[in-house]
Amino acid sequence: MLANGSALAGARPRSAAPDVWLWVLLPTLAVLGLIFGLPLADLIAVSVHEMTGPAQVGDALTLEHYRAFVTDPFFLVMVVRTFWLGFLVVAFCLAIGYPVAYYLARTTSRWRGMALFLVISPLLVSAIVRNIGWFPILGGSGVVNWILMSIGLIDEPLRLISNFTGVVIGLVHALLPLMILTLTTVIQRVEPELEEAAANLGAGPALVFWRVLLPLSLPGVVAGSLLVFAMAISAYTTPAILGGNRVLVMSTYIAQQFRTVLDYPAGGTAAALLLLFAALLTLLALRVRTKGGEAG
Amino acid sequence: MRRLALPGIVFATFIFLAAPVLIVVVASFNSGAVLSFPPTGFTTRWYERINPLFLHAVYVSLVVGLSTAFLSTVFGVPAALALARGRYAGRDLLNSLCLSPLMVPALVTGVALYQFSLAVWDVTGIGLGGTIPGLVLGHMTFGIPFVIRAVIAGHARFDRALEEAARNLGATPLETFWRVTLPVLQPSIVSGAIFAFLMSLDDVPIALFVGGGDATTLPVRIFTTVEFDFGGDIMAVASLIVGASVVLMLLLDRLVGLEQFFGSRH
Amino acid sequence: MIRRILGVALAAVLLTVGMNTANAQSNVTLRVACYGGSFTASQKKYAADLYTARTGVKVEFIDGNPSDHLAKLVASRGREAPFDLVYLDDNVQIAAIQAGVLEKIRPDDVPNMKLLYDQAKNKDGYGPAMIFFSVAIAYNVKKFEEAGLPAPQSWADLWNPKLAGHIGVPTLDNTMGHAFLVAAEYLNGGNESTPEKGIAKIATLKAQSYPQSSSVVEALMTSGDVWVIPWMNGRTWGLIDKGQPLKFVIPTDGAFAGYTTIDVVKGTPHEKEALAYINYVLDPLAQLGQANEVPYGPTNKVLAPVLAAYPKLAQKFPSSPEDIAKLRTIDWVTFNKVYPQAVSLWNREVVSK
Repeated sequence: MLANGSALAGARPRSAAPDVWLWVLLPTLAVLGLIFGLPLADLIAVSVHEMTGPAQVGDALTLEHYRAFVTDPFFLVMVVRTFWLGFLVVAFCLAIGYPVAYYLARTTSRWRGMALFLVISPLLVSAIVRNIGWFPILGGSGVVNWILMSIGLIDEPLRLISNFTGVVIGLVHALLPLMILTLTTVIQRVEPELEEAAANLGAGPALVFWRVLLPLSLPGVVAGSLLVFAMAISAYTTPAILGGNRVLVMSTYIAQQFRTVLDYPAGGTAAALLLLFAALLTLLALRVRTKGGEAG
Repeated sequence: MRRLALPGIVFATFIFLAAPVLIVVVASFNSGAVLSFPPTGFTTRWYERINPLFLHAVYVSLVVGLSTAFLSTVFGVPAALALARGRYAGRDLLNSLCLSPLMVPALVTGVALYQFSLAVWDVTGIGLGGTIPGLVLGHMTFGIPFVIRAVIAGHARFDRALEEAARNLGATPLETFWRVTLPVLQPSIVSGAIFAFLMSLDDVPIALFVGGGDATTLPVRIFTTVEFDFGGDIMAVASLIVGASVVLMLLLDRLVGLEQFFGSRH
Repeated sequence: MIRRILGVALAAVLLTVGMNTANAQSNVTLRVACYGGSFTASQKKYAADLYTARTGVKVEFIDGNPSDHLAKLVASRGREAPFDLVYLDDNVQIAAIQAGVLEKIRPDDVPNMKLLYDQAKNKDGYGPAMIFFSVAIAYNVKKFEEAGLPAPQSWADLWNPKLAGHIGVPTLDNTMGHAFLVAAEYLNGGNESTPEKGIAKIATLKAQSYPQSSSVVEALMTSGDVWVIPWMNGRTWGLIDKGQPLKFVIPTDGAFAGYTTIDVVKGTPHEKEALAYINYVLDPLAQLGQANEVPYGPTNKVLAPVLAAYPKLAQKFPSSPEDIAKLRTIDWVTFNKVYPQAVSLWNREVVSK
């Protein structure tokens, strides 16, 4: 079925075999629908009901929770904060991750395997332990502040935990592996000869990167960014621990409503809106890619 | 100067990536207060004190992680090909939908799955809560999207002429898929499967709600333990995982070469 | 010393049990929702193992936070219970009672209930408290000396401007946070029904952070970022015993009482076995063992004279009838009624500032 489809799609004009691939997609969609779509829809359905008690809802339908959410500037600021966090984390992951991925894709060092292992090592340590491991490094008398103060760069310790900065550092660290591995697999597909050719024609490294490397590795940039963005806006442990519960984002708010206030409608409303906004953004990103001709 | 810039950035990034992991490993040998830094003395007593419950939890986590990675790959690879190659209305929408499980806080998925497992029990009498199959199904919700995303990325610049050539040489469609398509996509499939495995190894909220009892994973065991005793033994367990992974990686590198998995142009 | 006595007692009991009831058998497995870590370990050691040895009924612990247990109970309402017994914090127990997921207990079915302090008995007939704990002030002695600050003596002392940026405040998601909110409410001329007063007061503290768990508090105390925090006796003593330079002070205007309760879950098919298990948990030996390993106060009053003989242990928790009577109690029904508003205010006035 699968190979048949690929052969068909490859052999014929594109418009002639429009839906073979839909059949290939179907089993996976069915599985995701069953283990994710249905349970989630069932849970989010509480958001259109009245709350009648802790974790309890009535039968009557209401859109009140949505109205209350979208008309309250407090929640809108929270949404903006959440997405701003997502963008920042993606930007840092790209900026830091791209050179590393490029290096990993091009190096012939026998240490490449160990380097790849180092890249994924943050994810081998459980999120709670990993986050707590940051305190001796980023705390007021932590390693980073100690170094910066010893070399006289600062007089007062910088505040790197229990705030937005701490959350960004923690998330960039935890999600960098996703970005680097995704980029590496794509960059190693780009023939080095193309870069050499461009360089031979007199293009500087910046131009080679901008006109050759980046466009050809764009699918990796899109895929890595989508993954990192999705994970950043839905992360809970890192914002809670490294943000010192001072950084209220959608996920920490949702967890609070589901776990302690037991206000399922409020939690469900926020979860539904988070999903909606994020899906729209993703769609937008994919649209931009599709216009470029390739699937992102 | 420019020659040094790239290795410099790469080196700095590796330090950044390894820093908290190193802190944890160092703390596991620290005889003083767990997080005191620099450490005050050397001891291995934390390793001797590891509760057997943790070892069982490691076993559960490995079984769940490997099953999740395998099943997510089985379902993720065809879907990724269908999303990358198909030309049909609503493809972008489906593409976005396949990523949506990652956008929902895992806690929400966990609560939803718990409620759903009860409904499944009502209808079919199959109890998934507190079982390893239940955990695997729960982790596939994020495992499949990871594989899909990684493979779609790796599929870019896929030279379809290779497949046509194979077909022209008389390969059956299945042979073409196994011998041409899969090998070309292998690096991205491997990285997708690794993501699925690692995220399964890292998940607390879903495993907290779907698991429990004998089906308690390592992160959940750590999560419920640190509240009462956050000691060197937790650091020791975490370090053991890192150590075991290093050994595994070195072995793989020696025996088959990691290039076999991640692929390389060289 | 007490450790050795306990060990001998436990060994003796297990030995006699082993001889008398070697063939006690049952194919029932009780599923017990508990906290995890050393708490579950000590409950297993002093209550569950003995219970299993005597009755043959096996015990399986499902670890998690009380609020997560409640979420599971509520989700499975009207179906078979996800577990037969549940350990909860007192305010979560009130929410669980309101949600109708707990079973009442007749004192006659649990003989050890007669030996409990009155404060440990539930007025409406639900599960009893199996331990007392207290919420008071944990502070770093070294940091206070360095900064030339006097030791805190009352709740109001925490509002010393020199502590701004160095004080941790427990987040409103946990028991310590609830108690501290009530303390602030009363300081500002209010009570449990006026969260706005407490939150306005807390907002003036300029806290360094709002930690949720002991592990984070430990990390913050070790890194020197937090000097003082309202926290629970047991977890603070855990840190002191590990060598942290902390002290746990009971404010002159009173520490707050907390209870951990144990309840039978509504709809359990093993009610009889569950009640028998609770009796083991309330047994003096189990209670003393618990207190020795995780320092919380036994609710069985038979132990008061024993504990009085071990002041080193007894100082770690409310251990005498006088201690227990002095604890400030919280009107949880009123508190829970306005809790959603309190959280909303907290998000707006405290977290986002």
